[in-house]
Amino acid sequence: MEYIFISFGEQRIVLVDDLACGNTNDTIAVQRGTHTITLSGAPTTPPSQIVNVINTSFPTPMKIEFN
Amino acid sequence: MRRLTLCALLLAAACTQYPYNPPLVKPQNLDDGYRWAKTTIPTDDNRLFVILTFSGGGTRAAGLGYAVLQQLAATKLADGTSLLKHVKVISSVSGGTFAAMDYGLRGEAILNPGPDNFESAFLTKPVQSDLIHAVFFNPYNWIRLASPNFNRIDLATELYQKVLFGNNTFQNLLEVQRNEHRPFIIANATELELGAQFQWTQDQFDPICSDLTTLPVARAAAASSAFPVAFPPMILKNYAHDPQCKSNYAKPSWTATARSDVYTNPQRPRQITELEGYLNPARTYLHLLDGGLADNIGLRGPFHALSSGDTFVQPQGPVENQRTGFTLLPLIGFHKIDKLLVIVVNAGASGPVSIDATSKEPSLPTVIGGISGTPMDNYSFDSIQMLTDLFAKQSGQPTKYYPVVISFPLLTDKDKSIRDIVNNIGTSFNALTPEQLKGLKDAADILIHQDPCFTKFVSDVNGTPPPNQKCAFGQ
Repeated sequence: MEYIFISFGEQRIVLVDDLACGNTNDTIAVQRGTHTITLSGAPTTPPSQIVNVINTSFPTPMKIEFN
Repeated sequence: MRRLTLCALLLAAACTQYPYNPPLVKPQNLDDGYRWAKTTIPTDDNRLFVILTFSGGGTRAAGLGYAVLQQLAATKLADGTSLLKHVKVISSVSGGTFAAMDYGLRGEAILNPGPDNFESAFLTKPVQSDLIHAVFFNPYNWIRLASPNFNRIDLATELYQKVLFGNNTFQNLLEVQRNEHRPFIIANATELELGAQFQWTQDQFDPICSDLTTLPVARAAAASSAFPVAFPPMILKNYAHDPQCKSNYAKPSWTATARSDVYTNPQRPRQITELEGYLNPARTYLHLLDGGLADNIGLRGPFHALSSGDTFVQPQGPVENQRTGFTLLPLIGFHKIDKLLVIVVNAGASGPVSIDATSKEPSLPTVIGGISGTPMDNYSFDSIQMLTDLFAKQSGQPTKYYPVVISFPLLTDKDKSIRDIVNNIGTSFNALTPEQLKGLKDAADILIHQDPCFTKFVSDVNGTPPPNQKCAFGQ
Protein backbone atom coordinates (compact mmCIF):
# COMPACT_ATOMS: atom_id res chain seq x y z
CA MET A 1 0.00 0.00 0.00
CA GLU A 2 1.25 3.49 -0.89
CA TYR A 3 -0.02 6.99 -0.16
CA ILE A 4 -0.48 10.22 -2.11
CA PHE A 5 -1.40 13.73 -1.02
CA ILE A 6 -2.86 16.02 -3.68
CA SER A 7 -2.43 19.73 -3.03
CA PHE A 8 -5.10 21.90 -4.61
CA GLY A 9 -6.72 25.24 -3.76
CA GLU A 10 -10.14 23.77 -3.00
CA GLN A 11 -11.71 20.47 -2.09
CA ARG A 12 -12.09 18.24 -5.14
CA ILE A 13 -12.50 14.52 -5.60
CA VAL A 14 -9.28 12.76 -6.58
CA LEU A 15 -9.57 10.17 -9.35
CA VAL A 16 -6.88 7.48 -9.47
CA ASP A 17 -7.15 5.64 -12.82
CA ASP A 18 -10.72 7.07 -12.99
CA LEU A 19 -11.64 5.67 -9.55
CA ALA A 20 -12.81 8.27 -6.98
CA CYS A 21 -10.47 7.48 -4.08
CA GLY A 22 -10.65 10.49 -1.75
CA ASN A 23 -10.38 14.26 -1.55
CA THR A 24 -7.66 16.78 -2.30
CA ASN A 25 -5.56 17.97 0.66
CA ASP A 26 -6.00 14.60 2.36
CA THR A 27 -3.83 11.48 2.39
CA ILE A 28 -5.16 8.79 0.07
CA ALA A 29 -4.18 5.12 -0.12
CA VAL A 30 -3.27 3.71 -3.53
CA GLN A 31 -1.69 0.52 -4.76
CA ARG A 32 2.05 0.60 -5.43
CA GLY A 33 2.75 1.40 -9.07
CA THR A 34 1.94 3.74 -11.93
CA HIS A 35 -1.32 5.67 -11.83
CA THR A 36 -3.06 8.44 -13.73
CA ILE A 37 -4.28 11.14 -11.34
CA THR A 38 -7.03 13.62 -12.25
CA LEU A 39 -9.35 15.86 -10.27
CA SER A 40 -13.13 16.14 -10.60
CA GLY A 41 -14.78 19.40 -11.67
CA ALA A 42 -13.39 22.24 -13.79
CA PRO A 43 -10.15 21.70 -15.75
CA THR A 44 -6.89 21.84 -13.81
CA THR A 45 -3.27 22.47 -14.69
CA PRO A 46 -2.03 19.98 -15.63
CA PRO A 47 -5.24 18.14 -16.62
CA SER A 48 -3.78 14.85 -15.37
CA GLN A 49 -0.52 13.44 -14.03
CA ILE A 50 0.97 9.99 -14.45
CA VAL A 51 2.93 9.14 -11.31
CA ASN A 52 4.87 6.12 -10.10
CA VAL A 53 4.01 5.76 -6.41
CA ILE A 54 6.57 3.79 -4.43
CA ASN A 55 8.29 3.82 -1.03
CA THR A 56 5.75 6.07 0.69
CA SER A 57 4.02 5.73 4.04
CA PHE A 58 0.95 7.29 5.63
CA PRO A 59 3.00 9.98 7.42
CA THR A 60 5.17 10.60 4.31
CA PRO A 61 2.92 10.37 1.24
CA MET A 62 3.96 11.34 -2.31
CA LYS A 63 3.01 15.00 -2.71
CA ILE A 64 1.40 15.94 -6.02
CA GLU A 65 0.37 19.46 -6.93
CA PHE A 66 -2.43 20.67 -9.22
CA ASN A 67 -3.39 24.26 -9.98
CA MET B 1 -35.01 -55.42 -29.71
CA ARG B 2 -31.81 -55.31 -27.65
CA ARG B 3 -30.11 -53.33 -30.39
CA LEU B 4 -33.00 -50.92 -30.49
CA THR B 5 -32.84 -50.42 -26.71
CA LEU B 6 -29.08 -49.91 -26.89
CA CYS B 7 -29.51 -47.32 -29.66
CA ALA B 8 -32.18 -45.51 -27.63
CA LEU B 9 -29.89 -45.43 -24.58
CA LEU B 10 -26.95 -44.17 -26.62
CA LEU B 11 -29.17 -41.52 -28.16
CA ALA B 12 -30.40 -40.48 -24.72
CA ALA B 13 -26.80 -40.29 -23.50
CA ALA B 14 -25.70 -38.22 -26.46
CA CYS B 15 -28.55 -35.77 -25.87
CA THR B 16 -27.82 -35.21 -22.17
CA GLN B 17 -26.18 -31.86 -21.68
CA TYR B 18 -25.99 -29.54 -18.70
CA PRO B 19 -27.03 -26.12 -20.04
CA TYR B 20 -24.16 -23.74 -20.62
CA ASN B 21 -23.95 -20.36 -18.94
CA PRO B 22 -25.90 -17.86 -21.10
CA PRO B 23 -24.31 -15.03 -23.08
CA LEU B 24 -24.62 -11.40 -22.05
CA VAL B 25 -26.94 -9.98 -24.68
CA LYS B 26 -26.89 -6.36 -23.51
CA PRO B 27 -24.13 -3.80 -22.97
CA GLN B 28 -22.00 -4.26 -19.85
CA ASN B 29 -23.57 -2.22 -17.06
CA LEU B 30 -22.33 -2.07 -13.47
CA ASP B 31 -25.89 -1.31 -12.44
CA ASP B 32 -26.96 -4.82 -13.50
CA GLY B 33 -26.24 -8.31 -12.27
CA TYR B 34 -24.82 -9.97 -9.17
CA ARG B 35 -21.90 -7.66 -8.41
CA TRP B 36 -20.52 -5.37 -5.71
CA ALA B 37 -21.86 -2.18 -7.34
CA LYS B 38 -25.40 -3.55 -7.47
CA THR B 39 -25.49 -4.53 -3.78
CA THR B 40 -26.59 -2.00 -1.20
CA ILE B 41 -23.23 -2.18 0.57
CA PRO B 42 -21.33 0.70 -1.11
CA THR B 43 -24.04 3.13 0.07
CA ASP B 44 -24.96 1.44 3.39
CA ASP B 45 -23.71 2.60 6.78
CA ASN B 46 -20.22 1.12 6.85
CA ARG B 47 -18.78 2.53 10.10
CA LEU B 48 -18.20 -1.06 11.20
CA PHE B 49 -17.12 -3.23 8.31
CA VAL B 50 -16.59 -6.95 8.79
CA ILE B 51 -15.15 -9.28 6.14
CA LEU B 52 -15.13 -13.06 6.57
CA THR B 53 -13.17 -15.56 4.53
CA PHE B 54 -14.11 -19.25 4.67
CA SER B 55 -11.51 -21.77 3.58
CA GLY B 56 -11.88 -25.11 1.90
CA GLY B 57 -11.86 -28.40 3.80
CA GLY B 58 -15.16 -30.22 3.11
CA THR B 59 -17.75 -30.35 5.90
CA ARG B 60 -14.97 -29.49 8.39
CA ALA B 61 -14.66 -26.09 6.69
CA ALA B 62 -18.42 -25.67 6.27
CA GLY B 63 -18.89 -26.50 9.96
CA LEU B 64 -16.18 -24.12 11.16
CA GLY B 65 -17.56 -21.28 9.02
CA TYR B 66 -21.03 -21.98 10.41
CA ALA B 67 -19.68 -22.04 13.98
CA VAL B 68 -18.00 -18.66 13.45
CA LEU B 69 -21.30 -17.22 12.15
CA GLN B 70 -22.92 -18.47 15.38
CA GLN B 71 -20.22 -16.78 17.46
CA LEU B 72 -20.74 -13.48 15.65
CA ALA B 73 -24.51 -13.74 16.11
CA ALA B 74 -23.92 -14.20 19.84
CA THR B 75 -21.57 -11.19 20.06
CA LYS B 76 -23.75 -8.26 21.05
CA LEU B 77 -22.59 -4.69 20.57
CA ALA B 78 -23.40 -1.70 22.74
CA ASP B 79 -26.04 -0.47 20.28
CA GLY B 80 -27.95 -3.74 20.63
CA THR B 81 -26.98 -5.16 17.24
CA SER B 82 -25.11 -8.40 16.84
CA LEU B 83 -21.70 -8.38 15.20
CA LEU B 84 -23.11 -10.68 12.52
CA LYS B 85 -25.26 -7.79 11.25
CA HIS B 86 -22.09 -5.90 10.32
CA VAL B 87 -20.66 -8.64 8.11
CA LYS B 88 -20.52 -7.07 4.65
CA VAL B 89 -18.52 -9.58 2.63
CA ILE B 90 -17.93 -13.33 2.80
CA SER B 91 -15.33 -14.71 0.41
CA SER B 92 -15.34 -18.48 0.34
CA VAL B 93 -13.71 -21.54 -1.11
CA SER B 94 -14.89 -25.11 -1.54
CA GLY B 95 -16.54 -26.45 1.65
CA GLY B 96 -16.67 -22.94 3.10
CA THR B 97 -18.82 -21.86 0.14
CA PHE B 98 -21.72 -23.99 1.37
CA ALA B 99 -21.93 -22.11 4.68
CA ALA B 100 -21.34 -18.72 3.05
CA MET B 101 -23.88 -19.19 0.27
CA ASP B 102 -26.54 -20.65 2.55
CA TYR B 103 -26.13 -17.71 4.93
CA GLY B 104 -26.33 -15.31 1.98
CA LEU B 105 -29.60 -16.89 0.87
CA ARG B 106 -31.34 -17.61 4.17
CA GLY B 107 -29.63 -15.35 6.70
CA GLU B 108 -29.83 -16.09 10.42
CA ALA B 109 -32.49 -18.76 9.83
CA ILE B 110 -29.66 -21.18 9.10
CA LEU B 111 -28.34 -20.66 12.65
CA ASN B 112 -31.60 -21.13 14.51
CA PRO B 113 -32.61 -24.50 15.97
CA GLY B 114 -34.88 -26.47 13.70
CA PRO B 115 -35.04 -28.88 10.81
CA ASP B 116 -34.03 -26.27 8.24
CA ASN B 117 -30.89 -24.99 9.89
CA PHE B 118 -27.51 -25.55 8.27
CA GLU B 119 -26.61 -28.39 10.63
CA SER B 120 -29.67 -30.42 9.71
CA ALA B 121 -29.76 -29.41 6.07
CA PHE B 122 -26.11 -30.02 5.25
CA LEU B 123 -23.54 -30.68 7.96
CA THR B 124 -25.16 -33.87 9.26
CA LYS B 125 -26.30 -35.11 5.85
CA PRO B 126 -24.29 -37.84 4.10
CA VAL B 127 -23.74 -35.69 1.01
CA GLN B 128 -20.68 -37.60 -0.12
CA SER B 129 -22.46 -40.97 0.07
CA ASP B 130 -25.41 -39.47 -1.81
CA LEU B 131 -23.04 -38.33 -4.52
CA ILE B 132 -21.32 -41.72 -4.75
CA HIS B 133 -24.74 -43.39 -4.91
CA ALA B 134 -25.86 -41.03 -7.66
CA VAL B 135 -22.74 -41.76 -9.72
CA PHE B 136 -22.33 -45.50 -9.23
CA PHE B 137 -25.70 -46.95 -8.26
CA ASN B 138 -28.27 -45.04 -10.29
CA PRO B 139 -28.69 -46.53 -13.80
CA TYR B 140 -30.44 -43.38 -15.02
CA ASN B 141 -27.28 -41.43 -14.20
CA TRP B 142 -25.06 -44.03 -15.89
CA ILE B 143 -26.77 -43.12 -19.15
CA ARG B 144 -26.45 -39.40 -18.53
CA LEU B 145 -22.79 -39.70 -17.48
CA ALA B 146 -22.06 -41.55 -20.72
CA SER B 147 -22.69 -38.26 -22.52
CA PRO B 148 -19.59 -36.23 -23.33
CA ASN B 149 -21.58 -33.13 -22.28
CA PHE B 150 -22.64 -34.22 -18.80
CA ASN B 151 -20.26 -35.24 -16.04
CA ARG B 152 -19.93 -35.72 -12.31
CA ILE B 153 -19.66 -32.01 -11.54
CA ASP B 154 -23.03 -31.48 -13.24
CA LEU B 155 -24.47 -34.27 -11.13
CA ALA B 156 -22.97 -32.65 -8.03
CA THR B 157 -24.69 -29.38 -8.95
CA GLU B 158 -28.04 -31.16 -9.06
CA LEU B 159 -27.38 -32.85 -5.72
CA TYR B 160 -26.40 -29.57 -4.01
CA GLN B 161 -29.60 -28.02 -5.36
CA LYS B 162 -31.63 -30.90 -3.94
CA VAL B 163 -29.89 -30.95 -0.56
CA LEU B 164 -29.36 -27.26 0.21
CA PHE B 165 -29.77 -24.52 -2.38
CA GLY B 166 -32.96 -25.46 -4.23
CA ASN B 167 -33.40 -23.57 -7.48
CA ASN B 168 -32.00 -20.32 -6.10
CA THR B 169 -30.08 -18.32 -8.68
CA PHE B 170 -27.69 -15.40 -8.40
CA GLN B 171 -30.68 -13.14 -9.07
CA ASN B 172 -32.29 -14.53 -5.89
CA LEU B 173 -29.02 -14.03 -4.00
CA LEU B 174 -28.89 -10.41 -5.16
CA GLU B 175 -32.52 -9.78 -4.24
CA VAL B 176 -32.12 -11.03 -0.66
CA GLN B 177 -28.92 -9.04 -0.30
CA ARG B 178 -30.74 -5.87 -1.36
CA ASN B 179 -33.87 -6.57 0.69
CA GLU B 180 -32.19 -7.84 3.86
CA HIS B 181 -28.81 -6.07 3.59
CA ARG B 182 -27.02 -9.39 3.68
CA PRO B 183 -23.33 -9.77 2.87
CA PHE B 184 -21.88 -9.88 -0.62
CA ILE B 185 -20.97 -13.55 -1.08
CA ILE B 186 -17.99 -14.28 -3.31
CA ALA B 187 -17.61 -17.96 -4.17
CA ASN B 188 -14.16 -18.68 -5.56
CA ALA B 189 -13.09 -21.31 -8.06
CA THR B 190 -9.89 -21.70 -10.11
CA GLU B 191 -9.56 -21.45 -13.90
CA LEU B 192 -7.44 -24.46 -14.74
CA GLU B 193 -5.35 -23.24 -17.68
CA LEU B 194 -4.85 -19.65 -16.51
CA GLY B 195 -4.18 -20.80 -12.94
CA ALA B 196 -6.21 -17.79 -11.87
CA GLN B 197 -8.81 -17.30 -9.19
CA PHE B 198 -12.31 -17.19 -10.68
CA GLN B 199 -14.94 -15.34 -8.64
CA TRP B 200 -18.63 -16.08 -9.18
CA THR B 201 -19.64 -12.45 -9.60
CA GLN B 202 -20.81 -10.54 -12.65
CA ASP B 203 -17.57 -8.53 -12.58
CA GLN B 204 -15.76 -11.79 -13.37
CA PHE B 205 -18.39 -12.87 -15.92
CA ASP B 206 -18.18 -9.56 -17.83
CA PRO B 207 -14.92 -10.34 -19.67
CA ILE B 208 -16.34 -13.71 -20.82
CA CYS B 209 -19.52 -11.90 -21.87
CA SER B 210 -21.80 -14.16 -19.88
CA ASP B 211 -24.83 -13.43 -17.72
CA LEU B 212 -24.47 -14.86 -14.21
CA THR B 213 -27.96 -13.80 -13.11
CA THR B 214 -29.90 -16.92 -14.10
CA LEU B 215 -27.29 -19.48 -13.03
CA PRO B 216 -28.05 -21.56 -9.92
CA VAL B 217 -25.90 -20.73 -6.89
CA ALA B 218 -25.36 -24.49 -6.56
CA ARG B 219 -23.28 -24.21 -9.74
CA ALA B 220 -20.84 -21.90 -7.93
CA ALA B 221 -20.67 -24.21 -4.92
CA ALA B 222 -19.96 -27.17 -7.21
CA ALA B 223 -17.19 -25.37 -9.11
CA SER B 224 -15.72 -23.97 -5.91
CA SER B 225 -15.43 -27.50 -4.46
CA ALA B 226 -14.49 -29.44 -7.60
CA PHE B 227 -11.44 -31.10 -6.12
CA PRO B 228 -9.15 -32.32 -8.93
CA VAL B 229 -9.43 -35.97 -9.95
CA ALA B 230 -12.45 -36.53 -7.69
CA PHE B 231 -14.34 -34.19 -10.00
CA PRO B 232 -13.73 -33.16 -13.60
CA PRO B 233 -13.53 -29.41 -14.28
CA MET B 234 -16.77 -27.49 -14.72
CA ILE B 235 -16.96 -26.09 -18.23
CA LEU B 236 -18.21 -22.58 -18.90
CA LYS B 237 -18.63 -21.08 -22.33
CA ASN B 238 -16.60 -17.96 -23.08
CA TYR B 239 -18.62 -15.65 -25.34
CA ALA B 240 -16.01 -12.86 -25.50
CA HIS B 241 -15.70 -13.30 -29.29
CA ASP B 242 -19.03 -15.00 -29.93
CA PRO B 243 -21.51 -13.28 -32.27
CA GLN B 244 -24.15 -13.56 -29.50
CA CYS B 245 -22.07 -11.26 -27.28
CA LYS B 246 -23.48 -7.74 -27.00
CA SER B 247 -21.61 -6.48 -23.95
CA ASN B 248 -19.14 -4.12 -25.73
CA TYR B 249 -16.60 -4.95 -23.03
CA ALA B 250 -13.60 -2.64 -22.93
CA LYS B 251 -10.56 -3.11 -20.71
CA PRO B 252 -10.68 -0.97 -17.55
CA SER B 253 -8.63 2.22 -17.48
CA TRP B 254 -6.09 1.04 -14.86
CA THR B 255 -4.67 -1.40 -17.42
CA ALA B 256 -3.30 1.54 -19.45
CA THR B 257 -0.45 2.22 -17.01
CA ALA B 258 -0.21 -0.93 -14.86
CA ARG B 259 1.63 -2.99 -17.48
CA SER B 260 4.79 -1.00 -16.82
CA ASP B 261 4.83 -2.04 -13.14
CA VAL B 262 6.52 -5.35 -13.80
CA TYR B 263 9.33 -4.56 -11.33
CA THR B 264 7.59 -2.27 -8.82
CA ASN B 265 4.38 -4.29 -8.48
CA PRO B 266 4.31 -7.45 -10.65
CA GLN B 267 0.84 -8.32 -9.39
CA ARG B 268 -0.65 -5.61 -11.66
CA PRO B 269 0.77 -6.82 -15.00
CA ARG B 270 -0.12 -10.36 -13.97
CA GLN B 271 -3.73 -9.29 -13.55
CA ILE B 272 -3.66 -7.79 -17.04
CA THR B 273 -2.33 -11.10 -18.38
CA GLU B 274 -5.20 -12.94 -16.67
CA LEU B 275 -7.76 -10.48 -18.01
CA GLU B 276 -6.34 -10.74 -21.52
CA GLY B 277 -6.40 -14.51 -21.12
CA TYR B 278 -10.19 -14.39 -20.82
CA LEU B 279 -10.34 -12.11 -23.88
CA ASN B 280 -8.16 -14.42 -25.99
CA PRO B 281 -10.25 -15.52 -29.03
CA ALA B 282 -8.80 -19.03 -28.78
CA ARG B 283 -10.21 -19.45 -25.27
CA THR B 284 -13.77 -20.39 -26.16
CA TYR B 285 -14.36 -22.35 -22.95
CA LEU B 286 -13.22 -22.13 -19.33
CA HIS B 287 -12.46 -25.11 -17.13
CA LEU B 288 -13.10 -24.47 -13.45
CA LEU B 289 -11.78 -26.48 -10.54
CA ASP B 290 -11.69 -26.14 -6.75
CA GLY B 291 -11.05 -22.58 -5.58
CA GLY B 292 -8.43 -23.92 -3.21
CA LEU B 293 -5.95 -24.39 -6.04
CA ALA B 294 -5.60 -20.62 -6.45
CA ASP B 295 -6.35 -19.53 -2.86
CA ASN B 296 -7.54 -22.02 -0.25
CA ILE B 297 -8.61 -19.44 2.32
CA GLY B 298 -10.50 -17.05 0.02
CA LEU B 299 -8.46 -14.08 1.19
CA ARG B 300 -6.96 -12.87 -2.11
CA GLY B 301 -10.15 -11.18 -3.33
CA PRO B 302 -10.73 -9.19 -0.12
CA PHE B 303 -7.00 -8.41 0.06
CA HIS B 304 -7.15 -6.98 -3.45
CA ALA B 305 -10.21 -4.92 -2.51
CA LEU B 306 -8.40 -3.58 0.56
CA SER B 307 -5.21 -2.69 -1.22
CA SER B 308 -6.06 -1.89 -4.82
CA GLY B 309 -8.37 0.23 -6.92
CA ASP B 310 -7.63 -1.80 -10.02
CA THR B 311 -11.17 -2.55 -11.05
CA PHE B 312 -13.81 -1.50 -13.55
CA VAL B 313 -15.19 2.02 -13.08
CA GLN B 314 -18.43 3.24 -14.64
CA PRO B 315 -19.39 6.92 -14.47
CA GLN B 316 -22.95 7.49 -13.26
CA GLY B 317 -23.71 11.20 -13.11
CA PRO B 318 -21.70 13.03 -10.45
CA VAL B 319 -18.30 11.49 -9.69
CA GLU B 320 -19.36 10.39 -6.21
CA ASN B 321 -22.08 8.21 -7.77
CA GLN B 322 -19.72 6.20 -9.96
CA ARG B 323 -20.15 2.42 -9.97
CA THR B 324 -17.10 0.23 -9.41
CA GLY B 325 -16.00 -3.35 -9.12
CA PHE B 326 -15.11 -4.74 -5.69
CA THR B 327 -12.69 -2.29 -4.09
CA LEU B 328 -12.82 -0.72 -0.64
CA LEU B 329 -10.41 2.13 -1.39
CA PRO B 330 -13.25 4.66 -2.00
CA LEU B 331 -14.94 3.77 1.31
CA ILE B 332 -11.60 4.06 3.12
CA GLY B 333 -10.47 7.19 1.25
CA PHE B 334 -13.70 9.06 1.96
CA HIS B 335 -13.56 7.98 5.64
CA LYS B 336 -16.74 5.89 5.52
CA ILE B 337 -15.20 3.03 7.53
CA ASP B 338 -14.18 3.56 11.17
CA LYS B 339 -13.28 0.00 12.09
CA LEU B 340 -12.48 -2.80 9.70
CA LEU B 341 -12.39 -6.38 10.96
CA VAL B 342 -11.19 -9.23 8.75
CA ILE B 343 -11.73 -12.74 10.11
CA VAL B 344 -9.88 -15.47 8.23
CA VAL B 345 -11.50 -18.83 8.99
CA ASN B 346 -8.97 -21.45 8.00
CA ALA B 347 -10.11 -25.03 8.52
CA GLY B 348 -6.80 -26.51 7.40
CA ALA B 349 -6.15 -29.61 9.49
CA SER B 350 -3.14 -31.73 10.29
CA GLY B 351 -4.39 -35.26 10.79
CA PRO B 352 -2.40 -38.17 12.20
CA VAL B 353 1.01 -39.13 10.78
CA SER B 354 0.36 -41.45 7.85
CA ILE B 355 2.93 -41.29 5.02
CA ASP B 356 5.90 -40.91 7.39
CA ALA B 357 4.73 -43.67 9.71
CA THR B 358 6.09 -46.29 7.34
CA SER B 359 8.86 -46.80 4.78
CA LYS B 360 6.27 -48.03 2.26
CA GLU B 361 5.94 -46.10 -0.99
CA PRO B 362 2.82 -43.93 -0.76
CA SER B 363 0.00 -44.64 -3.20
CA LEU B 364 -0.50 -42.43 -6.26
CA PRO B 365 -3.63 -40.72 -4.79
CA THR B 366 -1.64 -39.96 -1.61
CA VAL B 367 1.18 -38.41 -3.62
CA ILE B 368 -1.29 -36.39 -5.72
CA GLY B 369 -2.93 -35.22 -2.49
CA GLY B 370 0.45 -34.08 -1.19
CA ILE B 371 1.37 -32.34 -4.42
CA SER B 372 -1.88 -30.35 -4.48
CA GLY B 373 -2.20 -29.79 -0.74
CA THR B 374 1.29 -28.57 0.14
CA PRO B 375 1.38 -25.53 -2.19
CA MET B 376 -2.17 -24.66 -1.09
CA ASP B 377 -1.14 -24.58 2.59
CA ASN B 378 2.01 -22.57 1.89
CA TYR B 379 0.06 -20.08 -0.21
CA SER B 380 -2.53 -19.70 2.58
CA PHE B 381 0.27 -18.89 5.00
CA ASP B 382 1.60 -16.21 2.61
CA SER B 383 -1.85 -14.70 2.15
CA ILE B 384 -2.28 -14.23 5.90
CA GLN B 385 1.19 -12.72 6.13
CA MET B 386 0.28 -10.23 3.37
CA LEU B 387 -2.84 -9.20 5.28
CA THR B 388 -1.07 -8.67 8.60
CA ASP B 389 1.75 -6.77 6.85
CA LEU B 390 -0.81 -4.55 5.13
CA PHE B 391 -2.66 -3.84 8.36
CA ALA B 392 0.53 -3.24 10.33
CA LYS B 393 1.32 -0.46 7.86
CA GLN B 394 -2.01 1.30 8.54
CA SER B 395 -1.24 2.49 12.09
CA GLY B 396 -2.24 6.08 12.74
CA GLN B 397 -4.90 6.26 10.04
CA PRO B 398 -8.50 7.28 10.65
CA THR B 399 -9.69 3.74 9.82
CA LYS B 400 -8.66 1.14 12.41
CA TYR B 401 -7.83 -2.35 11.18
CA TYR B 402 -8.24 -5.64 13.04
CA PRO B 403 -7.02 -8.95 11.52
CA VAL B 404 -8.25 -12.17 13.14
CA VAL B 405 -7.17 -15.69 12.23
CA ILE B 406 -9.23 -18.70 13.24
CA SER B 407 -7.05 -21.75 12.72
CA PHE B 408 -6.73 -25.08 14.54
CA PRO B 409 -2.97 -24.84 15.24
CA LEU B 410 -3.78 -21.82 17.43
CA LEU B 411 -5.60 -24.09 19.89
CA THR B 412 -3.22 -24.49 22.82
CA ASP B 413 -2.38 -27.71 24.65
CA LYS B 414 -5.04 -26.78 27.19
CA ASP B 415 -7.55 -27.51 24.42
CA LYS B 416 -5.71 -30.50 22.99
CA SER B 417 -8.75 -32.78 23.09
CA ILE B 418 -10.72 -30.33 20.91
CA ARG B 419 -7.73 -29.83 18.63
CA ASP B 420 -7.44 -33.59 18.15
CA ILE B 421 -11.11 -33.95 17.31
CA VAL B 422 -11.16 -31.19 14.68
CA ASN B 423 -7.80 -32.13 13.17
CA ASN B 424 -9.06 -35.66 12.60
CA ILE B 425 -12.13 -34.65 10.61
CA GLY B 426 -11.31 -35.72 7.06
CA THR B 427 -11.65 -33.48 4.02
CA SER B 428 -14.85 -34.84 2.54
CA PHE B 429 -18.56 -34.16 2.40
CA ASN B 430 -19.33 -36.92 4.89
CA ALA B 431 -21.80 -36.12 7.65
CA LEU B 432 -20.25 -34.68 10.80
CA THR B 433 -20.80 -36.70 13.96
CA PRO B 434 -22.27 -34.89 16.99
CA GLU B 435 -18.81 -35.01 18.61
CA GLN B 436 -17.16 -33.47 15.53
CA LEU B 437 -19.79 -30.75 15.25
CA LYS B 438 -19.40 -29.90 18.93
CA GLY B 439 -15.61 -29.89 18.48
CA LEU B 440 -15.88 -27.32 15.66
CA LYS B 441 -18.24 -25.13 17.69
CA ASP B 442 -15.97 -25.29 20.74
CA ALA B 443 -12.91 -24.54 18.58
CA ALA B 444 -14.62 -21.47 17.05
CA ASP B 445 -15.66 -20.25 20.50
CA ILE B 446 -12.15 -20.60 21.95
CA LEU B 447 -10.26 -19.29 18.92
CA ILE B 448 -12.37 -16.20 18.39
CA HIS B 449 -12.38 -15.16 22.04
CA GLN B 450 -8.67 -15.76 22.61
CA ASP B 451 -7.75 -13.57 19.64
CA PRO B 452 -6.41 -10.19 20.88
CA CYS B 453 -7.59 -8.30 17.80
CA PHE B 454 -11.12 -9.67 18.08
CA THR B 455 -11.43 -8.74 21.75
CA LYS B 456 -9.84 -5.33 21.03
CA PHE B 457 -12.32 -4.74 18.21
CA VAL B 458 -15.31 -5.55 20.44
CA SER B 459 -13.99 -3.43 23.32
CA ASP B 460 -13.25 -0.51 20.95
CA VAL B 461 -16.76 -0.70 19.48
CA ASN B 462 -18.42 -1.01 22.87
CA GLY B 463 -16.18 1.57 24.56
CA THR B 464 -15.14 -0.90 27.25
CA PRO B 465 -11.62 -1.25 28.67
CA PRO B 466 -9.24 -2.98 26.25
CA PRO B 467 -8.06 -6.52 27.01
CA ASN B 468 -4.64 -7.21 28.48
CA GLN B 469 -3.20 -8.60 25.23
CA LYS B 470 -2.44 -6.09 22.50
CA CYS B 471 -3.64 -6.24 18.93
CA ALA B 472 -0.40 -5.45 17.15
CA PHE B 473 -1.78 -4.48 13.76
CA GLY B 474 -3.46 -1.41 12.29
CA GLN B 475 -4.23 0.43 15.53
